[in-house]
Amino acid sequence: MAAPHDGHPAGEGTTSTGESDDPWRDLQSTPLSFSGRTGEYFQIWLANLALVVATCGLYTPWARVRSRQYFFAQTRLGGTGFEYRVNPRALLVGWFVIGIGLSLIGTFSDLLASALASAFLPMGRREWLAILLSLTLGLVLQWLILSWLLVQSMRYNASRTLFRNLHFGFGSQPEQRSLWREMLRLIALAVLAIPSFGLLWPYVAWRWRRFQIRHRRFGATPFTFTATPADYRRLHLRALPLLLLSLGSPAPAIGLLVAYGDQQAWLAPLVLLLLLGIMMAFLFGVVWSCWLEAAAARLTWRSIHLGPLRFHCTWTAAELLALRLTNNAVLLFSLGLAWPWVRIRSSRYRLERILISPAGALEGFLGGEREQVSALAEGAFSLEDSLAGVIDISF
Amino acid sequence: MLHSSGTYYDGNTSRGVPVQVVAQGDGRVVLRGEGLERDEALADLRLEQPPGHAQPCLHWPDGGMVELADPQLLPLFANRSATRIQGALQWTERHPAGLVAALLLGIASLTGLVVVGLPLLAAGVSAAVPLSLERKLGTTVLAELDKTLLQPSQLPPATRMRLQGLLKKIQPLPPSRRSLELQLRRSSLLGANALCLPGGVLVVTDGLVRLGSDDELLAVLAHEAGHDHHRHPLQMLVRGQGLALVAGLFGDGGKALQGLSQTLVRNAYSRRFELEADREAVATLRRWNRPPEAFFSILDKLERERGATKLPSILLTHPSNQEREARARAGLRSLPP
Ligand SMILES: [Zn+2]
Repeated sequence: MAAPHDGHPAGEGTTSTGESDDPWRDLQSTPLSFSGRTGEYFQIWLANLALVVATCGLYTPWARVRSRQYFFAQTRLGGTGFEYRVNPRALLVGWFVIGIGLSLIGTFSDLLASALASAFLPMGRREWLAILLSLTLGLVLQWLILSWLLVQSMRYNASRTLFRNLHFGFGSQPEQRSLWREMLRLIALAVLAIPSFGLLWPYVAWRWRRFQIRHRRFGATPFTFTATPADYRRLHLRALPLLLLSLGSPAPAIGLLVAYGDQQAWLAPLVLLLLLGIMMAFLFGVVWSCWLEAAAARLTWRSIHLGPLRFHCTWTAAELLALRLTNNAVLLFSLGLAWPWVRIRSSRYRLERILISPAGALEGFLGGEREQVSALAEGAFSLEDSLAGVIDISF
Repeated sequence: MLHSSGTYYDGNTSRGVPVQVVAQGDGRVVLRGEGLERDEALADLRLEQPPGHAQPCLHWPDGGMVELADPQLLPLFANRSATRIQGALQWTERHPAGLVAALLLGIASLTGLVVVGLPLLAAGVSAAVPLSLERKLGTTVLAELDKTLLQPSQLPPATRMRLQGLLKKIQPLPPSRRSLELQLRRSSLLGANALCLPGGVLVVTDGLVRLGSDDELLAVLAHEAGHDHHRHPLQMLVRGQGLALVAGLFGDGGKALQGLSQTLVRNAYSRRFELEADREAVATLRRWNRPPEAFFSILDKLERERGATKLPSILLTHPSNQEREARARAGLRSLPP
């Protein structure tokens, strides 16, 4: 049995690099396992669906919590499952409060804009300015509120996740404001990444990942994140040829269309060529995103340290591609009924290819302060799910 | 005396200790493990059972927890209300009969919502919307259509006058006391057609006017006025929104299913509306002592113009002409002569 770890990460010099870390074979490592069964989850999913419909949606928090509890309990490490300890009733209250609040704000800014518009009906320059200002105000308000909710939701979910009866956590009570400020900056950066034609994106991805990981803790032990912006830049740079291939696929057809498009005889074959180009663009785009997803996951996991624990992820682009293509095909042909199968199978792939070492160190963690985080924000949205869907680190 | 084995986690470290949990007859529960001996009242312990196959957990009031390796102790907690609710949920999630019950409940409540709930809601909402707002909506839609599907009418002024005269014939009569507005348009895409927009804005295309006799046009106008009398455009809008909400309940799963089923339900609503409007058409003809055959003949003319379709009715927004004629005749018989 390992000695208890203090609340500080292990020495800084142990950063492991390189994609094919052979030491992992010798280390006493253990994989995450996933014991979910399609039939079982199908029935849970169906029961949830029936109850949600029968209660006109009021059951939704219960449905969400139960399905998450199922996936957490089936995700096992060293024989022990994870726990998601949440009272759905608190989520329901949060839903109502935030739902009413947000719709009030929405109505208010709409009213303001329309009042401004009708007050100055023959529109002059100043009136346009007034409307523009009120719209900007609305956006800023949303930015402030959503980022706060997002932080609270991350805090809530982390504090309700347990492993071996120890709580995870995200930030602490006094850190709330600085977390909020960081989130505001992150969202602003993500918006700025759009006019930068994606040049800023690797940096934003790195910031986002770092935000998610370095404020997280298990018991009293914080996670640390050792990847640098340069790592992410290299990653995106290596994926760039695939992206260019995708964007460039329709180019020859477009060029030919511009040159010979006015000749009737050429039109049909050129349109066909264009369709082919668009299909190729789509295909290369999917390959690109799978490659990036797999490589980013491998990089991220090997950059995470938790006390003496190290992580190793073996996702590959080809396997992710096969997974995604078959999932979509099956979903389409089953008219969506295969959803539970798709979810179980994706979770199994994603989880069982994550190794943790040394296995013996799982016993030695100390508990930290237990926090009461309000369920309000988590009730409003599962924002973390939708925004961080890119990553699967929210264990 | 019931006893279980399990692993104890104290909540302060991640260390797990193998333990024996023994429920004694006197309402106390004793926990024994290496260097560990605890004694607690059964009533203060809480059992948690996650959905699906997973070990149940026994929680101590101070935050300690035992992951039970076997179900021996579970009967002790069977009659607690929290356990009973969880048990009911688990029954639906695990038992084959629960699956059937969930399916039946789901289908029944969906059907109830779609057949009774949404129409009632839509009727209530559209009755509450003031005519001025509805008319505004109608003119907005018309302006949108003018940009896309419709072009200005090319009918000579005399024909227009004739049509306005026909409109007067249906205008002042009960039950439709709302004023109607006739808009003439040409449309290469819609061909011979007539539309009813919110707020009693009726659109008739040049193609239809050229196709029909006066009686036939009166029937068509009365059909569209029937749509307006029952507030069909507005109701369709509300029902559509409601359907989208209901479909939203299904979450991410089944997007393909959603689109298809929404279209099918929408079509079913629309066919019901058409039959309702048809009744108004034949009733109006009867009121002006014109033969009801005028309505059926314009239906046939339109079908000839567009070509009959072989698609099954669930894929269509309008019932087949045979059905429309049969239903309209049945409606006529129930009218006072
Ligand atoms: Zn109609």
